[in-house]
Amino acid sequence: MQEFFQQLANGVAWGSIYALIALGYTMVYGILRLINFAHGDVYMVGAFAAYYLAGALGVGTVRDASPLLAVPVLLGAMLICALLGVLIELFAYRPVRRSSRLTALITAIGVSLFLENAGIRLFGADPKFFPQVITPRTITLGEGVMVTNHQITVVLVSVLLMVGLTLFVQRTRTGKAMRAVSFHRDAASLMGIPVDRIITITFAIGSALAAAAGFLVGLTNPKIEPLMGIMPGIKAFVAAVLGGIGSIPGAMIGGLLMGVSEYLVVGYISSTYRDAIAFVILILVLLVKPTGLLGRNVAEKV
Amino acid sequence: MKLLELEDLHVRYGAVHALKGISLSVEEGEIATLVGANGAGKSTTLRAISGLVRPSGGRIRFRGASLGAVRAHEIVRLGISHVPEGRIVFANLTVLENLEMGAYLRRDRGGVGADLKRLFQRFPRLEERRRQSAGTLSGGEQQMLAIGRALMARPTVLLMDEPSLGLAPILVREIFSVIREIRSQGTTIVLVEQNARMALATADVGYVLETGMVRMSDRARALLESPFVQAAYLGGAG
Repeated sequence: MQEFFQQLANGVAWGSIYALIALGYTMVYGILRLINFAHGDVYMVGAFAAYYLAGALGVGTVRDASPLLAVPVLLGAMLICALLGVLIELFAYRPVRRSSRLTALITAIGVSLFLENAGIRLFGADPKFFPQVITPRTITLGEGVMVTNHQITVVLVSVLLMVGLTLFVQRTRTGKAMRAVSFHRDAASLMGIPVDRIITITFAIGSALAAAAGFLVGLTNPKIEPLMGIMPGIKAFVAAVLGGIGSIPGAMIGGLLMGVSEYLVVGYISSTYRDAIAFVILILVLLVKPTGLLGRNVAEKV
Repeated sequence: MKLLELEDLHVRYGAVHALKGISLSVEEGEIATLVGANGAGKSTTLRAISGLVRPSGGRIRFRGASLGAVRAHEIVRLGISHVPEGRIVFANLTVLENLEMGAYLRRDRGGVGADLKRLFQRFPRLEERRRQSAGTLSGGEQQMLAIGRALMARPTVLLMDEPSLGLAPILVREIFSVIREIRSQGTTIVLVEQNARMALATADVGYVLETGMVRMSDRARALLESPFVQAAYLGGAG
């Protein structure tokens, strides 16, 4: 039982990171019906942005410094990636928005390769060690289940961001406009909603959440490198599909389930199959419930 | 002065020449109706006015100014609202949120609140269901919501595309009485309808569209009595 709860705790922390990335996939898909395959790489850029920001601000060099110093690093990385997301939308996706879906998909793959190779060029191919912006500590919960303060931070920050996102989407004028645009772009523009600007905002928010995930992963798994976004990107995509792509709560649930199943596989089967579980889940979802757990059953729009 | 004027308007969808030179004009405070068969270009005409499709030629003037390069979401600000074909209420938003989206561009919170209150008085069903998602409404309720949503922008001109489509006869009569009410409050209406008889009986002027061109135009009453219109659009002797 202790083993189970230990893996559950690890899985929840790791799944929060998937959930944050999956949100970006699902939001962009909801609004553009586009799988933004560059999204995992935005997460990588987020990790590096945090790495360089921490270096520039000198955060993580002093032991037992206040963990609040990590806040500007997190926010800075989110801002940088929000900007990156806006640029990607503006220069890569907007020009092909009226083209076929296949064109957009190939563009997304192109952006992904571009970011990965630009990352290798700019940051170097060798892994870098993410600074300890929060001094690590281990906390023992009951029954000998141990978690680190990093894992707790991951979960807390993720929950905070997801609550914030939910309130934004449900309550604010812009959030409601996002939902309107995702339902029907033309009908939204007939309300006077500036559709292009709403799409830009969606990319900015999704990318900022990916950056937060990049920062958080740097805390718990401090080795970062330019290709680190590929596998988590795919898994978060699967998480979004599992939750029902286009659904925000679906992405959160899908991410958590993905993280937990991964760690249960590690704990009970073998860490060899850790990555395989994502694809098993993907195949099962596509076979059994292609709309995902919370997905709407929408007919393909012509 | 003419409030809305279309001059030799052309629209192409790829190889299809959907509008081949439509000219029409609408006076302030009147109801103009476009009638005609499927594919005659009625919806396309409305979509061109509200900026959803770019004309390939001709001119659209609103209060004398050209709408040529104005984008759809900016046209709403000028005072033209469009109730689209098939209603297209935001099914994933609540009834109230749909109406809020209608008032998206308005900053006068007090005025929006007052308009909402009046709308709910007129359509109590919508008030009862204001917290429900719009996708759960019946067809008639969705049409009322789509009209109410467009009115929340306080338009000068309301474009309505097939508001009676797919509704039971009693609801069709209700829709047409709503249309007359909206006009009586000073809003100009451009009405596209397949139900030519009801449309011509309600409107002031009528245009008969055929294959992207205006075949006939006259006072609506005169069209209603025209033997050609009766034979082609009103199912023979009425």
